[in-house]
Amino acid sequence: MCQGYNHKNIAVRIGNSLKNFVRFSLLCLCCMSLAGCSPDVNEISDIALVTATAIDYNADTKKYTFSAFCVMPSNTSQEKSSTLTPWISSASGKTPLDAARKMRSRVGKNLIFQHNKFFIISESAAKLSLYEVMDYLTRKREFRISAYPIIAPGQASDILKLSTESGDMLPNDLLGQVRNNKLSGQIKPLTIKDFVDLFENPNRGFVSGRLKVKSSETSDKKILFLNGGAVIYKQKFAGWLEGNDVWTLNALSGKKYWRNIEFNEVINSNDGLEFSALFHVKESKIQGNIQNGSPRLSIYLKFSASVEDLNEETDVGDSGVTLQMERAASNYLEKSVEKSLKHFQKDLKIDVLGLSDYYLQYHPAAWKLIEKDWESLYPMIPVKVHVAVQFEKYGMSTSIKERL
Amino acid sequence: MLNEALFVGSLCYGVVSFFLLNKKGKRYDAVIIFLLSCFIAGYNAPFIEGKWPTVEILYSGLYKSLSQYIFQQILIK
Amino acid sequence: MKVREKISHLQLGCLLFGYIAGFESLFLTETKLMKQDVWIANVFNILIGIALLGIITYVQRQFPGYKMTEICDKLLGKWLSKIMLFIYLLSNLESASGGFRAVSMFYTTVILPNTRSDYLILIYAVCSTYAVYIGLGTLARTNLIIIPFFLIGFLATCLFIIPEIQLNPFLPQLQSSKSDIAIGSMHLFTFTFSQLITFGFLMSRVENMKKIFTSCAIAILMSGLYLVMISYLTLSSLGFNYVETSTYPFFSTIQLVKLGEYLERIEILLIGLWTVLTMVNIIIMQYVFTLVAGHVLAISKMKPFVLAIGLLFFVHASKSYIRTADHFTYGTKIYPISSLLPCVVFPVVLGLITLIKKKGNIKAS
Repeated sequence: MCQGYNHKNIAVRIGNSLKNFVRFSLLCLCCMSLAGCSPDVNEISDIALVTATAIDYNADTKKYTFSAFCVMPSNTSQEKSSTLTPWISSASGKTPLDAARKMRSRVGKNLIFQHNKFFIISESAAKLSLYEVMDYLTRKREFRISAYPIIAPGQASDILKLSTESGDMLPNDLLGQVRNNKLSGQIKPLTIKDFVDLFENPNRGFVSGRLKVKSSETSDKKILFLNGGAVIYKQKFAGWLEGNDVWTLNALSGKKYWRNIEFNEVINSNDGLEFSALFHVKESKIQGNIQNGSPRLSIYLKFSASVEDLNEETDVGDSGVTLQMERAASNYLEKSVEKSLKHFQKDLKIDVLGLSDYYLQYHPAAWKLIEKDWESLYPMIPVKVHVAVQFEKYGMSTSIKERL
Repeated sequence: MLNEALFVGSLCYGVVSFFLLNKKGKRYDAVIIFLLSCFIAGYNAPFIEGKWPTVEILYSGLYKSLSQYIFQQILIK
Repeated sequence: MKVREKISHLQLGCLLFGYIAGFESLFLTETKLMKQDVWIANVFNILIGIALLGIITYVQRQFPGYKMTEICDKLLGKWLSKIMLFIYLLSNLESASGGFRAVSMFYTTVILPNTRSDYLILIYAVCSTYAVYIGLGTLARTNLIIIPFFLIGFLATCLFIIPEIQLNPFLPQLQSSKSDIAIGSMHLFTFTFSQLITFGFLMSRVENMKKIFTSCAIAILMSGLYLVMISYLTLSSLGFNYVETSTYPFFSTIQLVKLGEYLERIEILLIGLWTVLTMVNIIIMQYVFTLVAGHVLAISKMKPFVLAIGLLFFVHASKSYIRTADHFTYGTKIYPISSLLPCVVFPVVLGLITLIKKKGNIKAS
């Protein structure tokens, strides 16, 4: 009888648990349907995705122009992505917000900025009102901090109208170029987060992405490509950098920037040998100290390399030959880095490498004494560059015998 | 609308709970719950122009000068 | 509300971990202030937290079988105890309203800008009132289920953020001024372990009282370690300057997490876990408020009052800290001072009186 009572008790409890479970599930279903009442809901047929944005500033009228490269998402699975209709929408206003709101109110769709990967800022906006633009980009919740602000010459809104060589949409092409930076290391793709972090640093400048326009080699159109960098100093645009200098900057920045880069160079050896090699940064170290108020610096770079082509028969399997090639490559790269550093110190006179951050972190007491004179001290810092190259691979063949 | 609904809702809850608890013989609890409901209703009362007391207002008034003095001392030292 | 349900010391420790880890991790105000020296605030916080825990567990152990509210009556006398407990209730309401407002402010700033804060606070208040109604045991068990997911989410965040680390967040050391260290430490303590008295009111519900100190001390160490890890992770991935600029630095760090090239925006999942733990924080405050209010007002049965207290929490939260600036200013300037009396002075006084009475009893015997 006791067992029977226990069984009945258990059955009642299971019954109650099931009832509670059913009630709870029904409550969850009702709550899920309430989500449709929220004013933050976006209907998929109403939205358009913005994949690139351009911000211009007119110094005469003191007005901003906000342009967006909009794409309508396909809402049936049968539509291919090539049939997506992109269009450019633009408006002007007194502030970036004013211009953006006017543009959004005129567009027939609800614009979604969460997929926006590029903010193309015109040179005049970067020179005259970069602070206002960056404040707007960081304050708005819709702009992701992983988007790339890029400085472009001329009118940024015109750039959105340019086509691409691949025929793909402009933002996709630019994203592909950023991805392909690992082949040259000549682009500095800074995200908004890094841009703003460096923007607030009073002692140093930094380099952001740069857009160039050139004529296509295969057709008449003008195409865009990312190469080189835009120098920002004291929260204003200060000048342009070429691709080679940006490569040096990437090699001397954090591992995040040089980890994936594999660039090529043509090296001329003393004995007439000319060869191409692919170089990959293995180690990048900056070491320095401050003696009697004078900062000094040494740069150590280690590359691993592979031989890609030769202009004459050379026994690349011989260690002696390889050592000679390594010496030639080291000398060449040292000169290249020294040339870039000289440009940063003597011509630009802007601490784009962040040497002030190095001294602040590793020699804080001495840094406090020289901080106020940093602008005058920086161009005079003696920098020693030490480059070591190691050829680890030479490809699928040793050398082709020359029969002349 | 939410304010008015809460005002009416809390007063109704107070009155209903008062009668239910009173019926069970818990007069003291009934009075407490009614007073509490009236206090809650005061936050959403449409006719009260001034602010109904919150801990923020009370403590901001009470501790403001002490806080200023303490932070000043910390900054000096 | 099941009054007599007991929880294990492990469940109490996990509740404490969930209580701390959920809320403070989003704002990291002390990290913005102290940057690379933030470990100093965390060490200070852990030490003071363990000391406070020691005092509260000592008091509870001297009176096994008594609730903390009854112990207060015994030690301070009926009316002084009521006054002190009433001050605690005000502090509890202040903290819980701040918690409601912080969560709704986060959601309206980041995710749902067009939704009214009041509706979000209403949803949280409904959830917390229901959780208080179904009891402490259910809450403790729910928390035990959530914490592993939270830890997995946190570990995944760490793994995916490591490629974004670009600077050494530990250097240069000891550059913060003494005032920054003092203010940062005070701020961190106020928002984390100063609320240990709240857990003091739950200690009588633990099965094995002797193990409370060990479990809770481990929870304090783990949550302190967690806070240090996320502080330095945030500093190293965002940079020293952007940490100060960002309103929600840890959220900005989580936004950097991406799987491959296209799978971004998974911060929503992690924020979901964070929201649940912040709810644990609010529910514990409301539950203890209900317990203590029942004692102060000498109410025989608290069940009918659960909804009334839930309503009180909702309306008070919706009328408090309406402006974001008010919320931040109050949290940095007034709250560290106003919480001293109920959260630090009150347990210390209880500890001292317990010690004096114990010595007096020994002498008498």
